[in-house]
Parts: sequence; structure tokens; C-alpha cells
Amino acid sequence: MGANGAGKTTMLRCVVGSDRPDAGEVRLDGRVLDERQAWVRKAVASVLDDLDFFTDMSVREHLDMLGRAHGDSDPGTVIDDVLEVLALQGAQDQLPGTLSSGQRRRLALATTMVRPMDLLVLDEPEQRLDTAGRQWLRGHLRAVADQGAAVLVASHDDELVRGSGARVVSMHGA
Amino acid sequence: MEQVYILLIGVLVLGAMLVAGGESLLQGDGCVGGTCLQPDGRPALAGAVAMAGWGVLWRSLLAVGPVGATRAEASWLLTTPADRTRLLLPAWLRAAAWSLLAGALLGWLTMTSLAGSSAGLPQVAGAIATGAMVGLGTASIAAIVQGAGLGLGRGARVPWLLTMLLAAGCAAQALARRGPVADRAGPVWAVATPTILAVLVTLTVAAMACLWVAVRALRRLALMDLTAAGDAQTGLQGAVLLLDGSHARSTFRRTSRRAGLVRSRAGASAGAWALLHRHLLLLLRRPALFLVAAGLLLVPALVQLLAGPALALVVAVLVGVQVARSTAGALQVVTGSGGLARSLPFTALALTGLLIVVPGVALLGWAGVLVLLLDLPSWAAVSVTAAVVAALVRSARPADLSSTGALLMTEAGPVPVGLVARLVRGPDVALLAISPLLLQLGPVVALFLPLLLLAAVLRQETRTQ
Repeated sequence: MGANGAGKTTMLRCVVGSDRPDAGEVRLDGRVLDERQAWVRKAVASVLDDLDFFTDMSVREHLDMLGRAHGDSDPGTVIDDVLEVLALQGAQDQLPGTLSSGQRRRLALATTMVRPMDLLVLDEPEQRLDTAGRQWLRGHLRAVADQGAAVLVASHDDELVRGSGARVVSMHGA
Repeated sequence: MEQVYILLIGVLVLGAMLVAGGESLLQGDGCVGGTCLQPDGRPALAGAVAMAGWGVLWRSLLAVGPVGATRAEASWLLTTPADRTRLLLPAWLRAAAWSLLAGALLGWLTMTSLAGSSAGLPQVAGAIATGAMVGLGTASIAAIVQGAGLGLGRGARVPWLLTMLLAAGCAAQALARRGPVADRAGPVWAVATPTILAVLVTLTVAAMACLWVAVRALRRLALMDLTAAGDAQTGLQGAVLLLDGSHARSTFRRTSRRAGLVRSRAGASAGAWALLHRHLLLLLRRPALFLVAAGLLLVPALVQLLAGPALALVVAVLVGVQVARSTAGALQVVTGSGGLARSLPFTALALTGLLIVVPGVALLGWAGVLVLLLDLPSWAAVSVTAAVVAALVRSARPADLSSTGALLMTEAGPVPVGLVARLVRGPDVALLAISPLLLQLGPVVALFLPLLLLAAVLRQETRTQ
């Protein structure tokens, strides 16, 4: 957690490999993270501000492609559950360009839910989520951690962070 | 947007050629001079005119319904228990009549392009009647499609069918030019009265059958589709009457929103195969793209007739790059979005490699027809494909358009170098790749250089993803 400009997003970008730290290195399970490596892309699921979607692919097709690309040859049931949890059933046949900002945010979160991962990295996931969505997110983060994955979240929502039982690191910038 | 861009370029190129050669076109076989079309060029030109005109007619019909109803009619009239077919028949007949007239005009234009003043009255009358039947049939099919309520995919099968017919026609024409048919006289055999009569009778029967089915389909039209079409028609009428583009823009936005819904299809397999399969499904979702690609084959064919094979090959590759860009939206999105690339479990090189497989195979088919049209050796299709794919990968990451960068002084004023770099990024490597073909350096060099450049571009562009 931290104020605007404290460096939360920069730190997350360094973790997922889209930015380079001035000093030091980021390791996962003892191995240096290089986001260009396939094993890193398999192990790390992230939602930062640089996530875009294929313009010609519907919401459901995005999730289907991601699930299958990560080795699930029959992701239909998982997708149904994710769409229901994120209240995206009504938008499952819509193209991303026609989604509202809140729906796009939910779709971004959904992309992390149809695939296996060892580390989940989210940058202010509470943005554009309504009250019910934030409550769901709190439980979801807890559930992912309980399944054995590490969860790293930058947030301004004190209730979300503390409610999910996370260890809090306060950043104050340079 | 890419399709609009391609269509715009196609229309501009063809339009410029039509205007430049307009006078000689009307002169027919009696034309003398350097700008006259050769007899071999007329079928290609007529094909281009017919296809472009039909494409505009088809898209226009779909954009406005073709059967629409105002919101008042939808609220009061169409919710009564009266027979909806009878209520909608006048609106449908108006649309069919407009389409019939447009088809007749298109028939006349096509015949003029094909034979100029050499065509006699029976040929011209036959062409006009044939065009009218095409217009009527097109409106009927559009109404059937509208009644089927297929959303974005409505009409998808029709462009597919036409694409296959057009490709078969191109291939047949290209093969015929290598066979004994090439020795026949230009437009004389092509516009024989019995041929036109046979085509006219066939089309009339087909149009009447479509009309009958379309009238029966009127009762299936949903109120939502009717009012959406009615809104579009009202918007266009307002735009024309008031000369106000905002009506047209709002109509476009409305139809775009309607087009934002697709029928989701499940993928197949897992891993890399799943990505390939999904990419193939995406490409197949846009059959109009194949129609545009097949139609744009006529541009290099025309250039070859007017300016020779070297320029035709250059034009073909530039057209190919534009076509390929439309098939490679996924590559552009992945290149521009680090987050999306990170979400897929492949290295940058593997991901880019996977995303060029499907466009590459489609391009190979396109290049196969192209080499037949341009009388190039069959292996040249591989060279052209590799050159275009290399351009595709290179242009997926646009050059930086820095406002503080160097300026190029031109007579029209200073132009940022970044803008020029953005325009040539992609086509530059494609032209370099086909230079051995242009210089006729033999198959080994002409195959090796494009493949080498493709490998180099892949390595360069995926290093930083």
C-alpha cells in the first residue's frame, strides 16, 4: 500500500518483468524472473495497466483461449463458473470494445482465474468494481492464497487488503 | 478499420484507373493510342467494377436493413395480430426496387467496362437486365439474412460463396490465359448474345426463387431488427436531406454497437494448437476479408496489363502487405500489449511464430493465385508470402512518432521523420525481399533472401517483447 507516486506499480512492473530495477533482481522459486521465458509466463498471472484484449474475440472466447493455451483441453465448466462469479454471463458474447470499463476490469481479473499459476500480481484490482465486486475480490484473493499461490497486490483499499488477511507493506517513495 | 483502409485504397486505385482510362474505355475496339486498354485487360476491369459495385450494394443493403420500420410503426402497427408479411411488404418492395435499379446501373457499367462502344444493343440490354436480376436477388438474400437474425455473422455465408466463386473465376482466367483460350479474340467471345441470354435466364430464375423465399421470411423479422434498420434509414435520410454528417456518424456508431455481439465458439485442443485453432476461427469470422483480398488480386493484374510485370509485382506485394495487416490483428494486439503477451505461456518468438501461421497459410493461397495471374513461376508464391509475412511482423510494432524528432523538409512543409518511418516500416523489408525476383536472379536467391529476412525480422522484433 502507499500514496500515489510511491512506486507500487513500478515495483509490480519490475516483478512481472515489464520494467527493470535499478539494482537487484527478482527471483521466483530461486530462479531469476525473465518475463520473456515461457516458464515465467506459465507461472505468473498478472493484471497491470498494460493488459489489452483481442478485438475480434468475445469475452468467452478470450477465456477459452487462455484456458486451453495453459493446457486445459476442456475449460467450459471453469469458464461458466468464472463468468457467473464475475457477473459477466450477459456479456459473454460481447467483443471487448463494447464492454464498460467495469466489465473490462472484470474480464481482466477473469483471465487470471481460468489458468494455473504460482504467483498472482494485481495492480489496484478494486478499481471500477462495485461494492459486491470488492467483497467477492477479497474472498477470491484469500482463496487463491489458500490454494498455494503467492499473491502480490498493490491497492488503495485498506478494507480489501486487511480483510483478505494479507501481509501489508507500506511504501513511501523516494 | 483495416478493412475500410484496404477498401479505400482499392477504390482509390481502381477509381484513378477508371478516370484515367474513361475515354478509351468508351471507345471499345476502335480505340487507338497508348492509353487504350488491351482486350485482355477488359475482363479484369469489368470484374473489378462488378465486384466493387456489388460489394457496395450488399453492404448498403445490410446497413439499412434492408427492411425497416419506424419506431411508431413498430409500437402500434407491427404489434397488432395482423399478418406481418402484408404490413412489411411495401417497405420490402421499396428496398427491392432500389436494389433492382442499382443492379441495372451496375450491369450497364460492367458491360461498358467489358466492351465499350463495341457492345451492341442486345448486349447492353442483356447486361442491364442481368444486373437488375442480380440487384433483386441481392436484396432478397439480404432480407432472408436479416430475418435469420444472425447478428454480426449475418450474411457471412454469402460473401463466402462469392469469394469462392471469385477465386475460381480468377484461377480459371489465369489458367485460360496459359491455354488455347488465350488465342481467342478479346471481348467478342465474352459478350456473345447467347451467353448473356443464358446467364440472364439463370439469374432470373435464381432471383425469383430468392424473392419468394424473402417474402416468406418477412414474417420472421424481429421488431428489434426492424427498428434498428428503421433508425439507420432515418439517419441516412437525415444526413442526405440536411447534408449533416453527424446523422451518418450516429448511424455508424449504432450499427457498430449492434456488431459488437458475436456467437462465441468453443476452441479445440490445448497448448499451441489451441491458439492456432482460435486464430483460424477469428479469420473465418471475417469472410468479407477474403472477398476483398480476392478482389484486390485484380489490382496487380491490371497494373501488369498497363505497366508491365515488374511494377505489377511491386504493387502486388504492397497490396499483399495491406491485406496481411487485416489478417494479423492478433499479432498487432499482442505486440502492443505486454500484458496480453505475458498471459500466454509461450516465449515471445514462439508466440509471434504461432500468430503468423494462419495469416501465412492464407497468404500462401493468395500468392498462389497471384503468381498464376502474373505468369510467375509457382515457387515465387513462397517468396512473396515470406516477404509479406516479414513486412507483417515488422509493421506490427509501429515506428515511434516523436514530435521532437527530426523533420523532413518538403514542399508541403516539414514532415516528422517518424511519420515517414511509420509508413514505410514493413513495406520496406517486403520490397527488399522481392528484389531478387524483380532482378530475375534465379530461384535459389529469390527464395533464400525472403526467408532469411523473415528470420531476421522475427528475431529482431521478438527480442524486446
